[in-house]
Amino acid sequence: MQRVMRAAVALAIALGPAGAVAQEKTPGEERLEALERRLAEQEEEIEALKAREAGQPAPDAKADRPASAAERGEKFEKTFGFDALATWQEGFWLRYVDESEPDPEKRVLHSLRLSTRVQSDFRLFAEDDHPGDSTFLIRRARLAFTGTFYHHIDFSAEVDFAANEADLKDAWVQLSYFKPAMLRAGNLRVPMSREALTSSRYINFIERPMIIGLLAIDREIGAQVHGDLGFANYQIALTNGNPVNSRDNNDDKDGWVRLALTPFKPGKGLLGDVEVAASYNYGHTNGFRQRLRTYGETVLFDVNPGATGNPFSDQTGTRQRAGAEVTLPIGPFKAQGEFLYQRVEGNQVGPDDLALDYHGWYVDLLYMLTGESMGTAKRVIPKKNFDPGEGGLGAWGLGVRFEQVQAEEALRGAFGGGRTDEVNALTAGLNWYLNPNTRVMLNYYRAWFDETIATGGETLDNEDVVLLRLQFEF
Amino acid sequence: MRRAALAAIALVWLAAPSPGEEAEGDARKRLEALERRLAEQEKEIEALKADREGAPDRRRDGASVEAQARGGGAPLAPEQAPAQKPPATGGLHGGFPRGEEEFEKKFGKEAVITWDQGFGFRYVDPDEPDPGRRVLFSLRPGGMIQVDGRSFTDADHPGDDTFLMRRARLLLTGTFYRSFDFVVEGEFAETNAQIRDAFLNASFTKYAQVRGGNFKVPILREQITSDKYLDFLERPLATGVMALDRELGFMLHGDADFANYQAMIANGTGPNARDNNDDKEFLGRLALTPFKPARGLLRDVEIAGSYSYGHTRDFVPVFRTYAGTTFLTIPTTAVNGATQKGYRQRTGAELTIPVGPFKAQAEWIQMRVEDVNRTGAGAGDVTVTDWYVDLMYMVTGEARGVNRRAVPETSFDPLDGGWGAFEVGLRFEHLDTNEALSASGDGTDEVNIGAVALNWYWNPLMKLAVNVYRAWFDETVTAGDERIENEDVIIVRWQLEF
Repeated sequence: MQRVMRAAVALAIALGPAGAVAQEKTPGEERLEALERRLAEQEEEIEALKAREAGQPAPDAKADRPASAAERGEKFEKTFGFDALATWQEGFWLRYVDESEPDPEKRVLHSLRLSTRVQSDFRLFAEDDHPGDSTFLIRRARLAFTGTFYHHIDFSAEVDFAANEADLKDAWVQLSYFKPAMLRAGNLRVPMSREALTSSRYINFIERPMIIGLLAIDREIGAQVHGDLGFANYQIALTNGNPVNSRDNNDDKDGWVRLALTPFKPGKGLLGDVEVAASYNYGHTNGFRQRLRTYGETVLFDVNPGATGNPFSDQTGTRQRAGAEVTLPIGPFKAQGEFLYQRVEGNQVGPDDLALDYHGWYVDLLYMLTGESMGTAKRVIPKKNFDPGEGGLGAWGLGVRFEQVQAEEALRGAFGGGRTDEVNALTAGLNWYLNPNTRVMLNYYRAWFDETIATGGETLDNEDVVLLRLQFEF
Repeated sequence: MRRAALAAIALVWLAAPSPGEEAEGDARKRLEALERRLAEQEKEIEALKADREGAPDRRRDGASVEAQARGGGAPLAPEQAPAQKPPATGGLHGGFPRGEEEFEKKFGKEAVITWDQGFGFRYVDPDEPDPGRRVLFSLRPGGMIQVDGRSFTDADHPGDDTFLMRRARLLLTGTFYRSFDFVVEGEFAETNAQIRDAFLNASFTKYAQVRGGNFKVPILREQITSDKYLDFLERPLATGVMALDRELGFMLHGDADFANYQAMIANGTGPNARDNNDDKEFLGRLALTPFKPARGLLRDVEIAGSYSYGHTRDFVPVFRTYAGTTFLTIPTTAVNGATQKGYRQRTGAELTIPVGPFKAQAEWIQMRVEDVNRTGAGAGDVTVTDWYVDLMYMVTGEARGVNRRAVPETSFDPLDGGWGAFEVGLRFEHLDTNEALSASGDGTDEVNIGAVALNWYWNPLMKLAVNVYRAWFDETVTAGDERIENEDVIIVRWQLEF
């Protein structure tokens, strides 16, 4: 169309007076040609706009969008890089697509995700004479980068700012060439306890059971081989044995193994997330701190070798930990129970060298009133998000936990009173999932101490704490 | 349309006179006819484009939710969305492979990356007909760097001239499910990384929103204003002396256009600090913005009052100048384990008048702290009063506004001849407290400050600022080994934020 028009105008010019009298363009001719070009451009533009109005593809799609890096040329790509794209998949991702890969599921060569998590709590001591102060607090405030390079190299780097300092959390690299045997190294979660392995975003109650803190099951620096065979998964790890981003203080390393059976996972049915697992750890420790605290952070005992005022002067010896787990998520129901054991040798108190045994267990029972599936270590997706304008109420769930921790009776003698070697606790929970990213949690926690404890100038036989959490993760 | 254009050209051309008859006046007429036709076509194109685009692309308003959220305690507005679903990038390098369900299932749905004085991710709900609600999720990484040079112009001042990192922050801010906004911000300028904003805001209606986490308390316009957009390089003394900062807690707030309000319950112990007593602090602020609905020149005029009341433990005011010189110390002794235990109340009044390139801002605040256990004097109340007036003028004529970026008409670029925007300002501030506090001779109970500012906005993201200030102490102050009656300081700041 454009060519026809140009030909018509050119013919007119050729036959016209200017063409007959002179070869050189007069100012009038130049002005005429400029007008002609502009007229043709505008006609193209009008056609494109009208076609789009009618829902038809534009004659030239390039005019409709910014040019890609490839279209802008090699020099542009060399200077500024190739085009990447953004996707939304429960969070924003940057993806670089390998165009030569025919399989859509393998087309992304590199990925990167920025994410965050904040848990804003209110903690209320229900008894007036409890020495603890009721307070708002930031329990976790994290920023994280996760991603994949070259299809098979995964990484995670995460920092927590809640304690007014930057605490490194996940910081590992993983080779995922072969799913049944992947290698991960860095600061990683040790393979023990379903509850400890579950992200704090998805735990059943506001705090993990007390036994997990006592056994210091957390992240450690080391390396791990792990794999998922469908009906089972396993982890074998070697770590420093000191919690969270700490260098070792002896030459021996901690060895870990965990085996989990997921017999119904291949069927992907209602019982797909059922898991039965066992784990074991062995290592040598120096100065290992054994502290038992309630959900209100009241210290029930603290074996802190070498610390001022602590009856334990030193600890050097072996440490063994073992655990057994059962997790039964069936639709909106979920039952989870664990038993954990620890033996720490070489605790020096006065002239005595004590081996201290600890064990604890808990049972969680949960039910989603609104019928959503709970699963294990994953988001609960409400059937309808909370939205007062559209009538959505989100998802609601109830839960109850009973737990017990028992320590060596010799501890009481070592501390000379004011401490307890046994605690039982009951927690009732209400979970409100406003949407997949936001959760409000309300827990009522009561702990019964076997012996009266002394803290903050008061003596306590039990503790009642109300915990409220506003959590979002993105 | 094309045929009409051809006909117009042909008509003009056929009607042209023969060479012998050619006259300069006729040629001019023909060309003018063509030009008119072109002008008509241009109008037609504009009309077609307007039909296509519908509502204007409000992303360019510079009022994104992230920008507002990072502005501090000001209420958040609903996300403003692009008018159209952004076009796909095609199937070349990095292009979204349309129609490949397997790809979407594994790697997610197509999102877009936008520039709005910073890069952001947005996921647009293609089924949402309301352009104002189309963005379902958004995420924006941001940051700020403030590099200062601070010089004491008195040679005998014991303070050291120094470069310092005043602020170095990284943050993530965003929106999910349209109505939930969040900000998580880390500060790295101090020795340890610290959390700044860390809150979630639920904004189903702009009249009543709920915010929970660690965020700015709703007391004083200057405190609520983001560090990025302050008139002077340091806030008035009151913010430090009266511990106006972020707090952990919850806030109900809303914006009715002609007014906005905030009501908060907090620990009362400072940013990201757990409480040290069981009582909580209550804070409230009501601001009138009577000209905002009209959207005219006076839209940002604001008159506000604020009040806080709570019980504190071990709260003893710390008196420091802009340069950190302590001009009054209250020696205390712990009684029953506390240096102070009683109520704290703060009352503030604000007036902000931005009119085009002019801006006047004035505030008054008074704090009363009960039962400070002063060494040798027993328990007694401490009262501190502070007021200040800022006068600002954008020499290059840009509008200044409140708690927002100054956007130069032309960005600074020596190659293209742009100079950015220039602003000058004056401040006078006065602070006084109980006379008895300076009776020991170690400090002053009254200080006056005069300050001059020159702000050079290179572009919307970067500014270079110089402040010169003098503090007059009513009584001599001990600083290091010197006794000083006043303090002269020059502060230079280079700031980049996005």
